[in-house]
Amino acid sequence: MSTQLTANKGIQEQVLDIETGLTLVGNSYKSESGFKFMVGLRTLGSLQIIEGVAKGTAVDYLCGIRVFDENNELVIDIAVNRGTRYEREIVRKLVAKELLHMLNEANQNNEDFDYYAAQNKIDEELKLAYYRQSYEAINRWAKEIGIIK
Amino acid sequence: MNNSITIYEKYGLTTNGLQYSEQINALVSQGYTSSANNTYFNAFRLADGILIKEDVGIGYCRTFLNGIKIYTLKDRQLIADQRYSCVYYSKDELNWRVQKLLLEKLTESARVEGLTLNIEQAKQIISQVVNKALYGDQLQEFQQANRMLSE
Repeated sequence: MSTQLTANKGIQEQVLDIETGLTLVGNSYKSESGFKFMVGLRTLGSLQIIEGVAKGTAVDYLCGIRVFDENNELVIDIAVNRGTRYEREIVRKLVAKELLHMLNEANQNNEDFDYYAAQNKIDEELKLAYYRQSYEAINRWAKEIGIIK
Repeated sequence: MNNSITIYEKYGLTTNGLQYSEQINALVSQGYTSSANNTYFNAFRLADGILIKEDVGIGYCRTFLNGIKIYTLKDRQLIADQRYSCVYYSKDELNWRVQKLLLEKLTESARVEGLTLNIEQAKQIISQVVNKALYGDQLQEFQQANRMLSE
C-alpha cells in the first residue's frame, strides 16, 4: 500500500466516501489491479483512528489500522491478515480489543481499574464513533416511513 | 439506462457501467473476473428511500452473496453493512438477510437515541420495503427516483 497510515496532522482535505462511510484523508491511489487504496479517519475523543482500505469490485479489504493520540504519537498499530474483508464492525472490534488490552496492561497495579466497566465504556464510545451518523440517518428514515412515530 | 445511472452519480455511489438486468430485477455493475476465474459484481435495488447494494461473486458452479450495504437516499448515508463468507446467493437468502440487518440496526439506533420502537410493526414495514426492493418493478423505482432528483 503506497499510502502510509500516518496521523492526520493539521489541515488536510477530508472527503466523505459514501460507499464505505469513511472520511478520507490524503490521496487515494488506484493500483494496476484496479483496487483503490485509501486512508480513512475516525475520531474517538482525542484519539484518531486511521484505517487503510483497498476497495475493489464487490469486495473491500482492510489493510491496517493505526491509532494516534492528541500528540500524534502512535498508540496502536494493528496489522491484519491478507484478505481480511473490510466492514465497520470488524474494525471497531479490533480497535476495541486493542484499546482494552492496552488499558489493562497499563493498569495492572491499579486496584481501582474496573476491567468490565472499561470494556463497556470503550464499546459504547466506539459504537458512537463508528455509527453515530448511521443511527441518526436510519432513525430519520424510520420516522419518514412510519416505523417510528 | 442513462436515467438509472444518474442517481448513483448524484448520490456519490458511482459504479461504472450500470445496466438494468431483467433477470434479477436490479441494476448491475460491470463484472470483474479474477485470475482464479471468479466473477464479481454489484447489484443495486431501491425501495422507500433506501438503496441496497449487494456484493456478488460467481464461482465455478455457485453464486455467492459476499456482502450487503444499505444507504438512505435522502441523507446519502451508509446505515448498515455486513460481509458474508460462503453464503449462497438467492433472493430468499438476500431477503431475510437484508430484513435482519435493517431490524438489528434500527433496534440499536432507537436504543441509542432513546426512541420507542414497536418491533412487530417494524418487522412488518421492513418486510414490505425489502419485498418491494426485491420483487417490485426496479426499473420503475429508479426512473421515479431520477424524476424526483431532477425536479
